[in-house]
Amino acid sequence: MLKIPKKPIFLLDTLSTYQSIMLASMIKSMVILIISCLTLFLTNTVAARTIQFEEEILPILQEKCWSCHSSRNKEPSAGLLLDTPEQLMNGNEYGPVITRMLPDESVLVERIELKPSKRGIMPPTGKGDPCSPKQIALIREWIKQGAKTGDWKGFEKPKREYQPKDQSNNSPLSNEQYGKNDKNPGLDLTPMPVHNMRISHSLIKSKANQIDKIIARHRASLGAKNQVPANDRIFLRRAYLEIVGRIPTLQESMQFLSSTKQNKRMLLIDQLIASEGYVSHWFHFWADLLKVDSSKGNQVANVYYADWLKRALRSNMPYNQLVQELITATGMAHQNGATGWIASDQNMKPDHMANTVQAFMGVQIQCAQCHDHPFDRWNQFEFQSMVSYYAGVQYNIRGGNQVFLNRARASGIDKLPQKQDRFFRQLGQQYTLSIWEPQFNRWHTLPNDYQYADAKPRQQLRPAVMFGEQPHIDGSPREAFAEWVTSNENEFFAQSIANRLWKQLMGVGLIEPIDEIKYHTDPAVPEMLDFISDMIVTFNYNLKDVLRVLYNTRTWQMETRTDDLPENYTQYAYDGRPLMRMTAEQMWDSIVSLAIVDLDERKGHGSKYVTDEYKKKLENIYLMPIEKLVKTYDETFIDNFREETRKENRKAYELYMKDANGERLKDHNGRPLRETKTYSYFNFGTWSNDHMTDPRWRGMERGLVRASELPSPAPGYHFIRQFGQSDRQNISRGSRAPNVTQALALLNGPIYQALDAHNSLLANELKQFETNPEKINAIFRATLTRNPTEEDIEIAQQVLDNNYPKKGQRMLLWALINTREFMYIQ
Amino acid sequence: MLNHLSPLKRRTFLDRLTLATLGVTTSSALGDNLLANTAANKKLIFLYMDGGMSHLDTFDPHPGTSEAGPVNAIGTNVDGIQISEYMPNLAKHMNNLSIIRSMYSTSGAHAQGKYLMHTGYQQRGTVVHPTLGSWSMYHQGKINQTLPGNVVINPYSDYPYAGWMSADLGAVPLGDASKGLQNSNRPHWTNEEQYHDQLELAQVFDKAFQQKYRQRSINAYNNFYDEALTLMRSEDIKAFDITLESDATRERYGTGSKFGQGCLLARRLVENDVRCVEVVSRGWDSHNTLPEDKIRDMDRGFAALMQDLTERGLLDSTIVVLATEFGRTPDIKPDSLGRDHWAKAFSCVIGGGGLTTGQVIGATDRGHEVTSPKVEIPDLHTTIATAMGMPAKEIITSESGRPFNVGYKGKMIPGLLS
Repeated sequence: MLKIPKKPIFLLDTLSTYQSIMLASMIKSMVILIISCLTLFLTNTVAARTIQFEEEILPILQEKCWSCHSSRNKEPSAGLLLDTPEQLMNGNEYGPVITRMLPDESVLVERIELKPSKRGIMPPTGKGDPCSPKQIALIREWIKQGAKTGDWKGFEKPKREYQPKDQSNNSPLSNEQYGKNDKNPGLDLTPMPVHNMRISHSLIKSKANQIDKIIARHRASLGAKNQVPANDRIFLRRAYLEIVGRIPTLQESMQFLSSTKQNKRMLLIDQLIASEGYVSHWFHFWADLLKVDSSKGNQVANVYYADWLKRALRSNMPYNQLVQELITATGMAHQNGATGWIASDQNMKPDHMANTVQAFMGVQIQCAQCHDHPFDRWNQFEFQSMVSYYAGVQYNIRGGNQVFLNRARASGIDKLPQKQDRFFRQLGQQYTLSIWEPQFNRWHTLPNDYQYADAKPRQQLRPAVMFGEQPHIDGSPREAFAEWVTSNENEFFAQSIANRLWKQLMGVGLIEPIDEIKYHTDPAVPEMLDFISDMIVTFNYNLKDVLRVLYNTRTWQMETRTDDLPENYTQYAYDGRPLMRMTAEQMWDSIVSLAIVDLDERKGHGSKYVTDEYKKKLENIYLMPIEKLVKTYDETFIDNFREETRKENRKAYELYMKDANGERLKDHNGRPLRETKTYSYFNFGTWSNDHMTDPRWRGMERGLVRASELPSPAPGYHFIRQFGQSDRQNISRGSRAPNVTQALALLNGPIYQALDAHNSLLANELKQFETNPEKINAIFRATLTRNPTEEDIEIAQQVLDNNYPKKGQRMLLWALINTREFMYIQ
Repeated sequence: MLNHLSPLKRRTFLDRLTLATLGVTTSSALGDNLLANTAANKKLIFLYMDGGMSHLDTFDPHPGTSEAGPVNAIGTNVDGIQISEYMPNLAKHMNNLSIIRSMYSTSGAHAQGKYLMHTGYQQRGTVVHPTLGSWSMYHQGKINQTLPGNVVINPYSDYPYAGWMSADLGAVPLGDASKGLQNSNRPHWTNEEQYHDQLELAQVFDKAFQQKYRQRSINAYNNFYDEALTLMRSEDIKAFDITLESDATRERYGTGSKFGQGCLLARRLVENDVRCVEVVSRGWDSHNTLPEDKIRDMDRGFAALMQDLTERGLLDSTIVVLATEFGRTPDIKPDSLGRDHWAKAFSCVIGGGGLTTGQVIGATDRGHEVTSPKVEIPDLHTTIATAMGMPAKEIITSESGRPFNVGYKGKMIPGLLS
C-alpha cells in the first residue's frame, strides 16, 4: 500500500470535495498504473509485440482451464467449454467470458484476477494454483489485441463413439452383432487365399549372390578364411531340419542323393517350402513369437489361434497382412483365431503394447511402461500415448459361461430360471474368448504414479505413435496403429523380421539380442540388414519367397565350423556355420518320423463331422438379441435343443464310426472312449482323430504326431518341454540349453516304445534289406543321414550277428539317437 | 557283453563322471560365494494349495458365527490357538508352526494369484519371474550334488519355473510322487549289461563327431549324460522312491492321497539334502462345496510330514510353508456351503528352520478384513528367503537389463525370526 503523505503536496486544501475525490482517484489510478507497469516490466513487456495464441495463451488455457472447461470432460463446469475458438468467444448461458479488445470487461480476466481466497476465483482453490502475474498480463494483452486465435482449430475432441457400422446399410452394429462383419464371418474354417511363391529361379540366384557378396566383403574385412560348401548329405539333413523341421526319411534321402540334376538343391528347397512340413516346422517359430498358448485359459478357444496361425502359414499370408490381422483382430476366437494375440496378454494393455512393439519392431520399450527408458530414447509419456490406441479394446475370457448372463443382466434381466441359466452357461463355454471394441468414451490414462513434469497422473492421452507421421484415425484406432506398424516407412518393421529370419537360419542375428534393436544400433554386417529388409518389402512381404532366397545362399549352405563362435557376435565372419542343437520340436519330430509313415500328414480332422446346419444354428443363438433369446429359449425349447444336439452328436458319431470301420476312438492311455465322451472331440476341437483310424497309422499311439499337432505348449514333463520348448508365457521363450532331464529322457524315456512297434516306419523299411550290413547301413542313413564308418560297421555287425541277434536292431537305434551327432544340426 | 571294443574302455565313462560334479552352469559357482556370507543355509518344503484354500474352514476359524457355517473349531497343543475341526492331526503340531492370519493379496484371480504366490511379483506380460525355489538355486545352489536341487511335485500348467533365469535353475517337475523321478530307470527291455553295451555303442558311433567338434555345448551335454548316469546308479536316487517306505508310513500320509504321498516324497528328498521341494495339492477352488475332504487330506499329509521332520531332527534345517493364492468369501453360500474367491484376507502357515512357532500372527474380523498390519505375499517371500539364508535385498540383473531381487519390495514379517 502506497502511503499518502500527510502533508499535501499540492493545493489539496484549496480544492473542492469533488475535485479532491477526483484527485484521489487519479492518484490511485496512477499508483495502479505504476504497479502495472512495474509488473509488466518485471515480466517482460507484453505490449510491445503481438501475442502468439498457440505458443503463449493455449498453454495457459491447458494448464489452468481445461481440467474443467473442456469437451474431454463429461460434464464441463458451468457448461463452459474453452477448447475451440468459437467456444472461447461464445462463453456459456450466462454470456461470453471474453470481450475482444477490452480485458477489463472480460469475465475471464475478472475471475483470474480475484484474490486467492475469494469465491469465484479461477482456477478454483484446490483445483490449481492461481494464474501468475505474467500469465494474467499475457491474457490481458491478448484480449486487448483482439483475442485472435490464428490458425488454431480447437483442441480436437476425442472421438467418443467409435462404433463399427454395418456395412450394408451403414447403421451402427450393436455389441452383440459386432464381430460378425466381412472380416469375421462366423465359424470361419474356410481356407485363406493362397499366396504362391512367385519369384523365378534366376532372381533367387541373383539375390542369393548379392547376399553372399556382402558376406564375402564382411569376411574379408575381418580377415577370415573362406566358406567351404557343405556336402550333399549335410545339406540334405540341414534342409529337412530347417525347412520342414525333421530329419529326412530313408526314402527321401535316397531320392535326393541319387538325383543327378544340377539344380537339385534349389528344387528340394522349393519342394520343402511348398510342403505341409513347412507349416509344422515354422509354426513353432511363430508360436514362440506370438505366444500361442492353447494350455492357458480355455483350451478350445486358443486352439483357434493355433489353427489360424497354421492356416496363415499354409496360405503364405503376407507378413504385413498377418501383423495387421493380429493387431486389429476383433470378434470371438472361433470366428477369428487372430484374436489370440491380444488375448495372450489378458487385456493388460501396456504389456500388450510392449509385446506388440517387441514382436513386430524388435524394439524393447517395456521399461518405458513405468519410467523413461534408461538406455534408449523412449519415454513413458510416448509409450503410454501409444497404448491409447487400444483404449477401447475389451477382452472377455474369464467365465465364458458368464457371456450370456452378463448380457442378460445388461438388459435388466437379473435372474434366469435354473434350466435356462444352466443352458446359457454351457453354451457360453463354447465362446469363452473374445476381443471387442465397442463404444468407448475414455482414452488410456497415465498411471497414478506418473512422475514427470510434462503431464499429470491419470491424465487421458490421445493416441500417438512414438515417431514418424501420426496415422490418421478413421474408424478403429487399432487400424491406424496397425497401418503405422506395418508401413514401409517404419524401418523397424521390416528390419525386425529380417533380423529374426536371419538369426533363425544363420544362427546369429545381425543385431543381438534379437529383440533389442536400439534406435541407433549398427548391424554386425553392414548393408545386410537393409538388404534383407528391402528384399522383404520388394517381395511384398511374401516370406516364402524371402526364405527361398536365404536358403539358396552359399552362406546358409556352408559347412559347419568346428569351434565355438567368437564371444562377440560382431566378430563372427561367417566362415563356418555355427553348430546348433536341434530345437525341442526338431528332436521330437525327428524321432517320431522314424516311427510314423507320412508323419506330416497325420493330423486331426477339425470339425469335419459337424454339419453346417448345426454350426449355423449355434451361431444364430449367439447373434440373437438377448431378450429374444431368453424368450425363445424357454424350458421346452431347451429340452428340444438338447435332444437335437444329442441327435446331431449321434449323427456325427455314426459318420465317424463308418469312416473308422467301427473302431472306437481311444484316449491317451489307449482305452476306447465312451460314445458320449467322443462327442467332445467332434464339436470344436482339432484333436479329433482320424489319424487313429487311417490304415497307415492304425495301432500307433495317438500322441505320436508332429509337435505342432500336440497341445501347445506341451505339458511340463513332456519330452518337448524338457528339451526347451517355449512355455509361451512371453515372446521367444524357446531354449536349447542342456540339462540333466534331457539326458535322462534320451537314455530311458518312453519315446523308444514308438520305435519298437512292429509296424513302425523304420521297421518296415528295414524289412526290405536282407543282410545285416545292409540293415546297418540303412539304420545309419535313417538316423544320422550318413553311411557308417568301418569301425561303426564292425561293432554294429558284432551286435547283430553275435551278441544280440534279437534286440540288436533296437540297441543300434538307441545308441544312434544317444549320440550328440544326432541332436546337432551340422 | 561286448568283448572287442578295442578303442573304448568302459572306464572312459567313469573317468568323465568326475567332471559332472563340476557342473557347467555358472549359477552354482555364484551361489557358493554368497553362501559364505550367510549363517543360515536352510532347505524349504513349500506346500501349495492350488485354487484358493478357505481360511475360515482351516486356520482362521470363527466358530459360532454365521461365517463359520457348520464348521467347528478345536483346540491345539498350544493354549489359545484354535483351528478347524477338520484338522485334528495338525492340532498336535501347532507348537511347531506359526499361523499367519493377516495374509493379503491384490489378485483375486487364480492365474495371477498363483503367479504372485510363487514368484513374489505381479504377473506381467513382458517377463516371467523365477519361483522362490529358483532364487534359492541361484543364491544357494544344491546341497546334495547328485540329486536335482529344486523339485516340484504335481505342478500346474503355467508354473513359472526358472522364469528369466537360466532354465536349469527351474524346478524338476514330477507328475506323480509314487512314480519318482521321470526316466531315472533304464528301460525295461534292457538289462544292466546290455545297457552298458548300448552306451559303448553310442560312444563308438559318436567318436568322429566328437573328435571333429570341440564346443562348449557338446561338452555340457557329455557332462549331463554323465550326471544322469551317476544319478541313476547312485544310492541317492532312492530318495525318489517312496515305495521303499513301509505300508504303515505310506498309510500315515494317506495312501490314496496324491498330496499325502507328495509330502512323503518331500520328506525323503529333504532327508537327502534336496534344497527345495514344492508339493502342489490341486482342486481347492470350492465354489460350490465345503471342501472337508480336501482339508482332511491336507491335515493328514501335512501332519505326517511335521511328525517325521520333528522325529528325525530335520525341522531345524527345513522351513515348511503352507500357502495358497487367496482365501474364500467369509459369507458361506447357504445352499452349497461353497465360497468364492477372497484375496483381502487369508491364512498361510510357516514353521521349522529355527523360526519362532506356536503363535498366531495377525487377525481378521470373522475372515472379512485383516485387522492387524497386513502381510503381503512379497513379505512372505522376503521372510522365507531371509530365513533360508538368501541375500534378499541383493539386486540381480536379468539378461534384458532389468533389476530383480527375491521377494521384490517385501518386508520381514515381525515375530518369526528372533
